[in-house]
Amino acid sequence: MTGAELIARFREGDHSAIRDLYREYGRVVFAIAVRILQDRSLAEEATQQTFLQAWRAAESFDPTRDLGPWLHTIARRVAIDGLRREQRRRAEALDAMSDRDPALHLDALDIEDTWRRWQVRHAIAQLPPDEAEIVRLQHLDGYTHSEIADRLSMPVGTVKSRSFRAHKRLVQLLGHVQEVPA
Amino acid sequence: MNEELAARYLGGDPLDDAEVALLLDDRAELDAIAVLLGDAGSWEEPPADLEDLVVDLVAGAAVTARPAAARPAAAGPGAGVPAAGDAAVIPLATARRRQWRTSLLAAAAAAVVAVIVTTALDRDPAAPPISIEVALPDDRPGSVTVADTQSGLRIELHAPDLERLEEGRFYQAWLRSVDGERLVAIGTFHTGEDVILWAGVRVEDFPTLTVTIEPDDGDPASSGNRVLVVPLLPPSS
Repeated sequence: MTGAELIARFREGDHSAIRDLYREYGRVVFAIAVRILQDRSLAEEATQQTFLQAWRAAESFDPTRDLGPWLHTIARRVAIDGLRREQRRRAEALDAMSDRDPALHLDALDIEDTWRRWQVRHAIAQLPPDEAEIVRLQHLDGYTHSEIADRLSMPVGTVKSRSFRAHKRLVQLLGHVQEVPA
Repeated sequence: MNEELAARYLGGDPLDDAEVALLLDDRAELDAIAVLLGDAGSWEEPPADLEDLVVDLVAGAAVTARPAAARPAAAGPGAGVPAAGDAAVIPLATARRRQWRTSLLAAAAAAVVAVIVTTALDRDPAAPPISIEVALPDDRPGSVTVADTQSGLRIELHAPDLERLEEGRFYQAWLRSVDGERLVAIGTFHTGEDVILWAGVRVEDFPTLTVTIEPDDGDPASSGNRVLVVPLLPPSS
């Protein structure tokens, strides 16, 4: 299904199109929401609202363009709006927040940051599970190839070859991490 | 970018000086990617049921947006949209979230009112993040919007067919308890245009909005002269 077909069916409320769009971008939307909101429960809400907003805006989406940047813009806006509401809610219960409060100037709101994170998360989501696991163990958990081989009860050679395939795939997907699209 | 070398560099393989030189212009980019690969946020996984919640939410909104005649007469398995005449019910997404918003977004069984989920993104930025807009029964023009706020339930009533009352009479809005035995007064007004009401109770406990015509005789009890009854939650919630 092309992007234009997916968006058209998504707009009609086609269950399979909604599911396809979620499966392609749901993890990424959620990750950006968590990054901005710093709360998984709020991020769940923001993810739902992002796809709902995307549905509302689908008619105006230019099908010749990439879905990713468009959805990233919506996801980011939804999460930031949620963040502001939560900050106002807390400010109502506590003393008013200073304009210089660091919470109001999170690096997480930087569009370059969120777009870069979007691309990396999207790339990770496209790795086969066994390769993603090795990349995670290497980078997030800091294990060496030998340690990974022990943990997964597999030969070191297998770990190395999967690691290489995974990283090559990531390089192909991210090799020239895009500037924030206009 | 030399993909083979870049993959080896990103994967932590040692490179000799010549190989490093070949990657010179790309190292910063690859280092930035490596930083993000090592960030827990890059590995966040949404809860497994979030997919179904999104599908139900968006599919439900799409059904609501269709003209009444175009809505399906009966829902098939998984569609989750049983129709009752022209008032299709939208099964709202269930989410593990705080307090009463869970009930507002609970999946619905058959009911008489059409429910549309809206967000504060389309409204006043000071409005809470989740609200429910409920159509008035019997195809009456207008709607009721219920939203959670720090101060309590904020209820917007728009019932333009309520004629203006003066000369010793006014409209009184109430929330009625689940068992129908208790009423909470939430405000008085002259017309049904853009009325803002506040309630310090939970909508799960008082799920029905009623409006009565009251004389200004100082009697706080309801006259029983109901002009509007609006269920705010589907019967199964």
